[in-house]
Amino acid sequence: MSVTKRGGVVVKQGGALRFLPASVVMRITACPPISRLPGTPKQLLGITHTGGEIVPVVGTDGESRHTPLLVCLYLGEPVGLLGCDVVSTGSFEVDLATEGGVMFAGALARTLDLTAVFASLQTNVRWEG
Amino acid sequence: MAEPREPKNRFFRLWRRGEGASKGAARSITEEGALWASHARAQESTTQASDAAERAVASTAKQRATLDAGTDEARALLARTEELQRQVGRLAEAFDRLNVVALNAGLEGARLGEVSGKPLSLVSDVVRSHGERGAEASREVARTLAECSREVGALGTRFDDARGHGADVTQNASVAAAAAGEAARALGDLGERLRRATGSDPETAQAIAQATEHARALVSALGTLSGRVPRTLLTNALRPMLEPLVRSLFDDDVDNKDKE
Repeated sequence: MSVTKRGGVVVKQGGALRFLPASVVMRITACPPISRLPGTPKQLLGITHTGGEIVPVVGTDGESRHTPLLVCLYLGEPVGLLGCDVVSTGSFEVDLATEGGVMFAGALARTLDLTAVFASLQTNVRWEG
Repeated sequence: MAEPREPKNRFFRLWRRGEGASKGAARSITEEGALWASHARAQESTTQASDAAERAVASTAKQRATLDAGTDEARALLARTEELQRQVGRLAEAFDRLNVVALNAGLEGARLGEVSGKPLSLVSDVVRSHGERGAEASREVARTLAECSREVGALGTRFDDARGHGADVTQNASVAAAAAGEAARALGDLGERLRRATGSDPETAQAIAQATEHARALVSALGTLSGRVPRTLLTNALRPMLEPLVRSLFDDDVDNKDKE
């Protein structure tokens, strides 16, 4: 029996719908105060305390800090994602033509590739003094 | 003992003299009377102007008090509006947090699976729907309150402008009151100089002017009756009133002649 639905979060990032599986997203919180770390790349917004632990916060979109914080698991470690507008949570129909994509309100939401986000963070490092 | 004089003859003699030789003097007296009347009117107008200026000053003082009260009320309203904005902001924040809770509930429902998590997902959707509506309504109220704040601020500015204009009016009314006072003093001085120059005073000039008017009216009436009514009848009718007048005028003439 094929899986036709997949649980997770549909977000809007840069005007496009993206999907984060429930296995990746730990929780969604209102954006807590973020402490900037000196000398870190601009895309690494800082660290914050949420859910009893300190997590690094990465900006996925350069603009909005008024979006909720998505605490995700990346390589077994919690990482905060900021800059995604959460559109919906729940179970969504899988789009079989797209790997990992789901359909939301008739539109395709591709999986947000966290690996690419963090790889971009590592390759575009511009250490600030 | 002096002979009794004929009142009728004396009266007409005076009358004729008044018509002839004293025409210039009568005109001068009339002019003096008119001059004093104009002086009195000018004094009255000056007094009215002074009173009006003082009333204007008092009215602007009341207006200023009213504007001050209005400004205070506008400030209080502005403070309350800002407090309401803060409260609505907290309300919007609470709705946003409720949305986050609903999102997390939906996420947990998705983790539980389609069947087990269905009720949780449904509740999440409903809560999120209400939360979004509440948040949107809160933001709308916040926008309206921001507009109210701007309008109340503009109202306060207008009150300030009106107070500035009122201060100008007060200043001008004070200048007008001072000018009216100066005009009153000048008119008093003018009256005194007029009194010295003419040797008359307003009351006397007015009385003479009135007497002249009455005399003219009497002469006019007598002219109308002349030839229609027998002289004896006219004389008998007028004698009780004219005798004291004629005696008075004649006695003055006698006194003057005695002095000469």
